[in-house]
Amino acid sequence: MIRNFNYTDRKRILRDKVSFEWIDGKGEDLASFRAKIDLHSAGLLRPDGQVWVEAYSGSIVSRYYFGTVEHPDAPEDTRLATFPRGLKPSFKIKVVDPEDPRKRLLAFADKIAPSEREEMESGRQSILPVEYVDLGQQIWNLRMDESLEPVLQLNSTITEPVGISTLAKTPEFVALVYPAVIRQILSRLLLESEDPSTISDHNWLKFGNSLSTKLCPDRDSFGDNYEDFVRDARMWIDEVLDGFCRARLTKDTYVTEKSENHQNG
Amino acid sequence: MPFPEDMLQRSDLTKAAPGGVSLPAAAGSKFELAASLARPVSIIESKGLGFDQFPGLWDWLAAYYFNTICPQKSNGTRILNELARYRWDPDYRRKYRHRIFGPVSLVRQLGVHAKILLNGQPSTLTDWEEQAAARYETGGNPGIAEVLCMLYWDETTGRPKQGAAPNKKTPGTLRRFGDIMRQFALTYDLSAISAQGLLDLLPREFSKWKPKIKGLFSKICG
Repeated sequence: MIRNFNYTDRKRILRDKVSFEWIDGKGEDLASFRAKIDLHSAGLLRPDGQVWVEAYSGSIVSRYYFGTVEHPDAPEDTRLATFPRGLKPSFKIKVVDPEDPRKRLLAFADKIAPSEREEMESGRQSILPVEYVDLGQQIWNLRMDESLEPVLQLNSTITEPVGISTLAKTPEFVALVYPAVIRQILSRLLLESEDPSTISDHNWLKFGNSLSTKLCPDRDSFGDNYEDFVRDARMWIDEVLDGFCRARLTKDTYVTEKSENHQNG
Repeated sequence: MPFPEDMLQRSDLTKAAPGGVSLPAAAGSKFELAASLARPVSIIESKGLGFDQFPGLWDWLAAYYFNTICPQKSNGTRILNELARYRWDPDYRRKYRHRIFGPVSLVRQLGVHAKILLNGQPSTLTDWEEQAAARYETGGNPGIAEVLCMLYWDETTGRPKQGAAPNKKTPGTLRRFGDIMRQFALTYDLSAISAQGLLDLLPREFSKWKPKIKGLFSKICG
């Protein structure tokens, strides 16, 4: 695990203070995006700090200049020309010191997934979108790309005795699959992320905090004690799962369903 | 076992990609093959092939060049490596391992400086790709690729310098370079720094690999 030291006092731009609206390209048009960035969440920044937005997926990157801290100026052209049609990149925001030849970062936010307009207008966003794909003999799979936004994949070839989308709503599926999904997501975020401080406001960590009696451990507060952080993170994840199962009464509803099925023969 | 090439044209298994491009013959090195495919792929993409159809394209190209990316030995057998090398895997931790997608993506993003990451035969997956290409900071940044060439490329042999990519994190070598770039990415805007600027930022452990200043000034600067 690489230790990261924030010696340059880089500030964090809170992810719930930014939004990226996905604008689908119609017909031959390219997809584009619209960004709202509130830099006040990062605290005091020098007014001439340059604001850059990067869209990225794997090794494909596009950069857009969004003016300065004092004079934000979204570019007219935010088309995502370098990305294959249909691919939604992730976004990062950089505020850069304009006088430093080393291009020191003054503030930063990463792994921001774009939202559809409907999600933004409703104020609700699914934190576990589902996609239906052919998974061979697997029933489900969790896909997380470099943006660390999880997607639950369900096997589209399952149509008997009912379709997979119906099966996935049954108490049995919820009881047996969702805790494993949650554990995978939280483990990847906390224990496999290169720099957990960049995702401390991730929706899934907020979700976990709502289910646990304690807040998610903060990697920065552990300093060099990575092993202690791992131990506390694992304990927190266990508490989140326990909270989820107690809130959903997963065991009771599973047993009830199984008993009814057994009686009905 | 010969590759069943007839399946490349079967209408029940394949579909024509837009653009009407013709494909180059299998070239010698991994870089040469990837460079020759970069333009045809760009044309296909410009003709509107959707993201969801690209896995099929990469897999078809892997099948088309199968004898190159999984060559037969003299006894007729093949060494079949992990499936992700031949069949598209959407997991970001594995997709770069696809022997067509990985190299072609690097050439399209990094241009000629991808040569240091794509040294070797098309069938191989070297540490250069594993350590450098798998990461956004390195795989997506032409400046970083240029720095890698400045540090580790040997023009006289046309290959990376000896000892540049050992299996462990020896100071100044490739794996340490990857670690340093990951940390730098959290402190500096790496996309905006020139290759020389990045080179100047590197700690002393990389000094022995840096290009030497030649001529009169080498005596002044030591």
